[in-house]
Amino acid sequence: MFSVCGSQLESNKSSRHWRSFAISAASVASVALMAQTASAAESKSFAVNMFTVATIQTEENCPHGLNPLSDVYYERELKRLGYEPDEIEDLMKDFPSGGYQPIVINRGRDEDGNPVNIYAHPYAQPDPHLMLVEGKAGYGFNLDGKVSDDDFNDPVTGEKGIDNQLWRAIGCTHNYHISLPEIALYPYAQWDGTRDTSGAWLITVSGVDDWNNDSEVTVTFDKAIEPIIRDANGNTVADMTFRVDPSSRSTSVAKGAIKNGELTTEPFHFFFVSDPGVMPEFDLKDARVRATFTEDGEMDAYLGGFHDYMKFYWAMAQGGWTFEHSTGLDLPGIYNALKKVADFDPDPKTGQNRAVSGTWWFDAVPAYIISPENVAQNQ
Amino acid sequence: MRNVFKFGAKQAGYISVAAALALTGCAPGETDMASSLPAVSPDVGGPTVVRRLTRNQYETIIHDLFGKSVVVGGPFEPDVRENGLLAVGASNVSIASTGLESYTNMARNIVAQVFESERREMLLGCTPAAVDQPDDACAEQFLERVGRYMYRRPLTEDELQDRVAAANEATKIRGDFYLGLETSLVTMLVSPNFLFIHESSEPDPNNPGFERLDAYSKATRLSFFLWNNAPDERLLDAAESGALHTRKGVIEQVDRMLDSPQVAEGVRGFFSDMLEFDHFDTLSKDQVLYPKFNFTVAEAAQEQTLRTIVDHLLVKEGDYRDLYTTGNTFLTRPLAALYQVPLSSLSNEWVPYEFPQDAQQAGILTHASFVSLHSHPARTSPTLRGMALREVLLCQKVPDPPGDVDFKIVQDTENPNFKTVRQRLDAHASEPMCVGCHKITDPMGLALENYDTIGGFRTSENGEPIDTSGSLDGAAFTDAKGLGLAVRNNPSTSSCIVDRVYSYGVGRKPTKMESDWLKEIVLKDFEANGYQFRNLLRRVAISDPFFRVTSPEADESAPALASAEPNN
Repeated sequence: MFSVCGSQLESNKSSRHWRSFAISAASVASVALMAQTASAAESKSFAVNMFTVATIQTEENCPHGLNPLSDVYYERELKRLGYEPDEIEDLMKDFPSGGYQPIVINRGRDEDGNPVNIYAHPYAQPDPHLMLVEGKAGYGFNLDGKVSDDDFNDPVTGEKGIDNQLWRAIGCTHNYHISLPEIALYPYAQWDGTRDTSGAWLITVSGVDDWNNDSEVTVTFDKAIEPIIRDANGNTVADMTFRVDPSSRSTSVAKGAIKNGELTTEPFHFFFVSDPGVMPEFDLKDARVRATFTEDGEMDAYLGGFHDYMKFYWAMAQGGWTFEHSTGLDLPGIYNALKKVADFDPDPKTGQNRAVSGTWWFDAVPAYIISPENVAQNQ
Repeated sequence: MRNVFKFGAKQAGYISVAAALALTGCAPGETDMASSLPAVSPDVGGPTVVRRLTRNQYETIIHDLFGKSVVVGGPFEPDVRENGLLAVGASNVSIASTGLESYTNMARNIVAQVFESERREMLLGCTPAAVDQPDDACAEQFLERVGRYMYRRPLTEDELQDRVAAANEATKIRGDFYLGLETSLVTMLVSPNFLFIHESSEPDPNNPGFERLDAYSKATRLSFFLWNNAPDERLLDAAESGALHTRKGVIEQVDRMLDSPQVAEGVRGFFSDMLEFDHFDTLSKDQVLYPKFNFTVAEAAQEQTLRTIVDHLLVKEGDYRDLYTTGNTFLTRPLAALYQVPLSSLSNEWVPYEFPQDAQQAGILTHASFVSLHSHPARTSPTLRGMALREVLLCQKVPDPPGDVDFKIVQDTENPNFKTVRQRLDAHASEPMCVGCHKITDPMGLALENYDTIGGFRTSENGEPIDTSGSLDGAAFTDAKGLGLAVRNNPSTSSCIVDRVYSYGVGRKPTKMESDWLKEIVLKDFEANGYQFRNLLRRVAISDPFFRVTSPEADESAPALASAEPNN
């Protein structure tokens, strides 16, 4: 037990809302995980540093090139709406500023042919038919247990049958045309722009007897009261102490196992209230985690699952024209692509799948965590 | 017959020493210590000095005068350290022309803020009859008041009338009373009377043939010593009334100042100087290798040590030597992350923290402020750390390295044959020209090798376990905590702090006679009183030598204090 400022910081517990500290006698950040022989029921906690869509580009992925940027698709839409070339040229002469903006913002048409906001009504224009990923390289998990033509092959594990239709929908856009460890611009800007003010994402791996091999461990996700603090390189400072938000809805628990130093979880429901700038709520069904640990005690992980595709769409569409132009993501195109590739949770009436498989990558640094019970006690 | 004191372990002088020590064991204020302090030979004193205000003192005075919201700016002339202290170096520096330009710019910026419409009515204390006309009465009232504080004495009549005339003339030229007053105030802010702390002496009627500081110089010396600030109204009043020329008056003011919260600022000022925290201004660390260290953490590291010192010495009235062994300190969340310990606090709030008994962190030697300041940007330096320990904490001079030293072995951290710095230093220090100095520095620095260049704890280097064993002047240790204990118990630790405190107060190195007195009387007092720092400050501040003025010639020719008569 530690006693800091009168509050008792607890070691392992087995309750659902269990939280932990890094109680190893040696420094968490300085002991190589692979070399460590664990004493009974250890735990380690982490704070997420970077969180992004897992992207990989290969020559085969986008054989027909990338989807166009905003100047191209705005011109296309103006043409579709009946504007003549000289009118289009005039409307777009000051691009990205210009008179074309209200037109393309309201390029949707309702049943009576009246203009409607296309971002609120992405179905109100013809499908632009974005080019989709055709290659086989894609990060993730075999969520449905099957191997089909639609699936990807994970570049790290080599596993086939990877379900990541989100990648298929967005992978041939300029914004996501990048491979990890480089990070796509839009998700980077989303995450980096919000993590200074939004409660940190916390992860605890507990019930560990052996960090190399252990068939029963628990992985707990939580949200902190405090945001992260950055180090001199702009990354999350390691070994910071966080208080778990006791009122948070962002608690997800998964059972897992460690094999040869790699942690994997069983399917679980991952629910996390994020920052609206990133995604108001992450709600992954059949979620999985796969993680490894570095010599510095950091975590490198993938999170996959099925997500309501409209929520993913709305996270983008809330930015309207500003988002669509600055990211080069044709939003009605994205909407239609997601709808096309959605692969889970069919609507009982229409049969349309409502969720899409996706994979995210994140890294995390060692952290100390104070449980919500102790936070409440102090309050 | 003059009262003189017999030093040395002989005859009645020793009895007087013992009596004095026994009597000085009384708690301050419980007895009138005036008669219980041994009288000291009037030879024990030193020359007056003229010290340039340090940056910290300048800022403090401006904020006291015109409010904390006034932005002071810069740049300042660099302060110089001599005899281990900026306070001593301050008496050997001047102001270059570029420096004067900078002070002038700062002054203009400051007064412009002072005379902003929202602030000036409150600060001025009077309203001019007409804004576009001179108002000598109002100007005089303001300038006399601020001048007394700025110059640390009343302005002479000529000085005051000169400043009023300047304000008058400037008002006519600039067409505005406040702008005219600004001009006059700028001239005062760049005056040597403000920028330099002058000390003046006068004949000492109690010791004919000898000199003493005049009353305002006494007030100034006391104030910068105990508060690191200019004298306040009450101290200036005590100077004006002549009270500071009486032992009772001095004790009254010293006790008031020691009881004031401002003494914490004085202690902070002293230790910031002694521990060389000014070097943090130019400290940099490799941010790729050590990203936890940034400007905020550097500031926090200093603050951690200063808070620890103030808490231990003033609040807890602890033994000074225990600063090198205590596990009690204060942390913020980012600092706790540096030390890899859990700590919950709001944002950057400071929280008391006690390292567990089995933790390696104990004493200020293990603070980030010490280990990071005396390290290279990307690697530790046992030699620098050991040298700092000798010179800063033990007042022992380590010779400079020869000019043609080859540091390649030490700097090569990738050498597979020398994985730890101990191995590299052993190889380097085997050179005959190197071994002498490294022998007196490296053992202590190597004890701190568990702390990387920013203060993070580690147990190995390049995969090799770190060996922290060594000895300090015959006291063996196995780790940093053991080193802290060795420093605590080293006689030089207490003699050094006594020397430094006195030097800081008088702004120069102690004379030979002062050194003898410090060693024979003040140090023994300090030891007998449980090494209490507040008591040490008081002992120095109420002592006769603190205000005595002797010429440098008198000190050089004076014999050692071996014959004198007892006080009573």
